[in-house]
Amino acid sequence: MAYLVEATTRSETGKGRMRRLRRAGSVPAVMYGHGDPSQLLAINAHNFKQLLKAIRGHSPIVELQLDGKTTRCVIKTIQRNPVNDELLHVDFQKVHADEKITMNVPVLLRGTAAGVKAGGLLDHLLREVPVRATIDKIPEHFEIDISEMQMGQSVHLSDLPSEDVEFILPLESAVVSILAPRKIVETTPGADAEAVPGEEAAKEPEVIKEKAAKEEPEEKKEKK
Amino acid sequence: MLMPKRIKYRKQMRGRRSGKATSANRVDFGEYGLMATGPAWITARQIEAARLVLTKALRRTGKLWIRVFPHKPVTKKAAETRMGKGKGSPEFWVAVVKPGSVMFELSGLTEAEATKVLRLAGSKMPCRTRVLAREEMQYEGF
Repeated sequence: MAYLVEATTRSETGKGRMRRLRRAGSVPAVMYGHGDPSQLLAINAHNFKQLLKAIRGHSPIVELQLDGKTTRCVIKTIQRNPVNDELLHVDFQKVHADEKITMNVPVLLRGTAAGVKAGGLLDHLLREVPVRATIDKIPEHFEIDISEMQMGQSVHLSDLPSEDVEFILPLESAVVSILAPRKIVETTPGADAEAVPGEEAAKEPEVIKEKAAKEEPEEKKEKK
Repeated sequence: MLMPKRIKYRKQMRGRRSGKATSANRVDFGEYGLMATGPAWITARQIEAARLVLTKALRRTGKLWIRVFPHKPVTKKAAETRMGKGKGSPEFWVAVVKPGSVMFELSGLTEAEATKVLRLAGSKMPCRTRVLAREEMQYEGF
């Protein structure tokens, strides 16, 4: 099911003018695709927020209505203010029926896993699966019934229905797993090599440059 | 407490904390997150305090992601020292966060439980915070 977005063309650009546009209740947007020149648009912020709520869990394919013409588009990017979630800008990409596009398809889980009832931990690894297909073949979402999953079991990409759809990720990638209860899994992304959690680490870390500088004079002494 | 293992320089300049977070500004790993709504230096001690609150609440049922790391050394001059004579010695480590940075994420709890525990962790932070849930679709990347 495609949703309708009403848009108007805009000629204004620039930071100050776009801020005025946002204050007036609109969101600047752009539509591009197929080598056509990109079109500057403005859409109603409130209506678009309602639409985002409605398409939650579905693929972001919309019918963009502009000057009485309807174009099938995919919502490519939404820029938001990270602090107050205000919509800043929306990108729409035109799609043709016979053209293959890459899109993230949401994965929905149904039921409560037997393994979770037994005390396991549900690990939803892939919440969205990137797929490549023509627009009419891209599923709204993948639904996985996890009610019979036991502890230690996983559902992989290869288990998902893949008719007319090409998966970008390797088929052995796990989508959802039921982990056995152990110690709380705690991760610090991007700092694994450096982190010393819970340990009494040395008061000062090793300084890379100082060490190199100390070694040099010793080498000179040895030469003498 | 968290601190780097190896560093290039012992002391750093203070820097500026202007602007909003341009990365790590949404829930990427878990289901719920704690976001800073103001700029701050989060000390290793504060991260540890929040971690303890969160791990205690999660017990054996959840997963926790700590998305900030105290990379920055903060120096202090000794008490009753006259000004000058160079920069003080490193005292503690901080993570620089800007408005919009998601500092902690967790999964495996209900919304009510997650909100409650993240608010508790937020009370350990030196800045105002907001609890947020993962957006179903993030519309990015392709």
